[in-house]
Amino acid sequence: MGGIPVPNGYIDDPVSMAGIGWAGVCVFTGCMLCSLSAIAVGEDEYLNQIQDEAYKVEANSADNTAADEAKVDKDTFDKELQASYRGSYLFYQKLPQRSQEEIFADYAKGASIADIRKKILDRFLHGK
Amino acid sequence: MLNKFYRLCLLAIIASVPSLQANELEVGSEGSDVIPLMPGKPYLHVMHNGKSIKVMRVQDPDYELRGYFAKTGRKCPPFCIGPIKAAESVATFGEAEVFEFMEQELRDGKGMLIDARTPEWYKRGTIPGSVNYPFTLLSKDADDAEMVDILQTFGAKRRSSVGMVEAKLEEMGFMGGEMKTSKWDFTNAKVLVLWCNGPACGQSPRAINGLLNVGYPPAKLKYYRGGMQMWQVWGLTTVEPES
Repeated sequence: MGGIPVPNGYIDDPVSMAGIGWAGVCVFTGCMLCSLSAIAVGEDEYLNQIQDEAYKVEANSADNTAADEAKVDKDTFDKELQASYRGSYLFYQKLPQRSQEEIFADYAKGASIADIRKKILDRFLHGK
Repeated sequence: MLNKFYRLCLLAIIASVPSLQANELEVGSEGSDVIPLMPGKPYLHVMHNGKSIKVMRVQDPDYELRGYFAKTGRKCPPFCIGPIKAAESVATFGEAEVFEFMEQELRDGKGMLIDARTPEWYKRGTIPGSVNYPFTLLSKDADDAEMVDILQTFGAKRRSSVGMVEAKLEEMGFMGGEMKTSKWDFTNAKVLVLWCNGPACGQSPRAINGLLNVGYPPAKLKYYRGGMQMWQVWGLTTVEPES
């Protein structure tokens, strides 16, 4: 009554069948738990060490933080264009104020200097 | 009409004097005092938290690095010099590749620069354009709710069910199989450049391996090994995240 009928000669205990016994299973499980907890401890230890190391970094230790120059202003852009790309600056100067401002807006949004120079020339030649 | 004539004349001058543009002062060229990022690239701009940040090198030729990243040694383990690769099939980037990435994939929204360090590091300064996804998050299981959110942010799409035939074909490399797992479609996922504190830092390699474990295609992962240490050695711009 109850349970799945087991044919004669069939051992229904897989542990006994494997010949390792329950004691073996306990030892194996214990080893597994130990190694997993060792990994976990190792990870925690690593995290602790990198946290400790982080506190050794002086805030604002680098002289090249961009905090003060995060905002690009149009005067700086004009000066840089004049200093670095004189030809483009020549055409840029001839553009109406509105076009200059649009070009600067593109620059401030992160457009590359190659794109900026191309746009200056396009605006100058075609008034686009 | 006169305006058009004026423009045509100027165009003719440009055409007849091809050296006009070539004569423009090229920053970083021989004779220039400017220290460029690399030849032909004096600086670049990258968006960081909605602001345009100018990435350039410290222009003082006598500048010497001080502070934490000037240190030559740290306790090993855990801070041991790592191999050039974070994982076999993941490409390693140097600074030049990072600049190119910033001006292309990052600007086009097809890539992300990942600061894989813990927040304690991030808040002490980061590379402009970076977003902070600590390696502790990127090492989670594919089914973890946080990992699911992160993968979706990276552009991966969750797959509902995959038929046996489809799965088999994908396994064989057909139907874009190299960009898919049974749970995720990474076809439109972003290219990620991950970095941490430098060659002796294990945080970004752990993040890369975590992402590989959830099936992120190795072709879409890049490892910037130099990290914050080399970034500062070159005197490149850093930003302090706003609290």
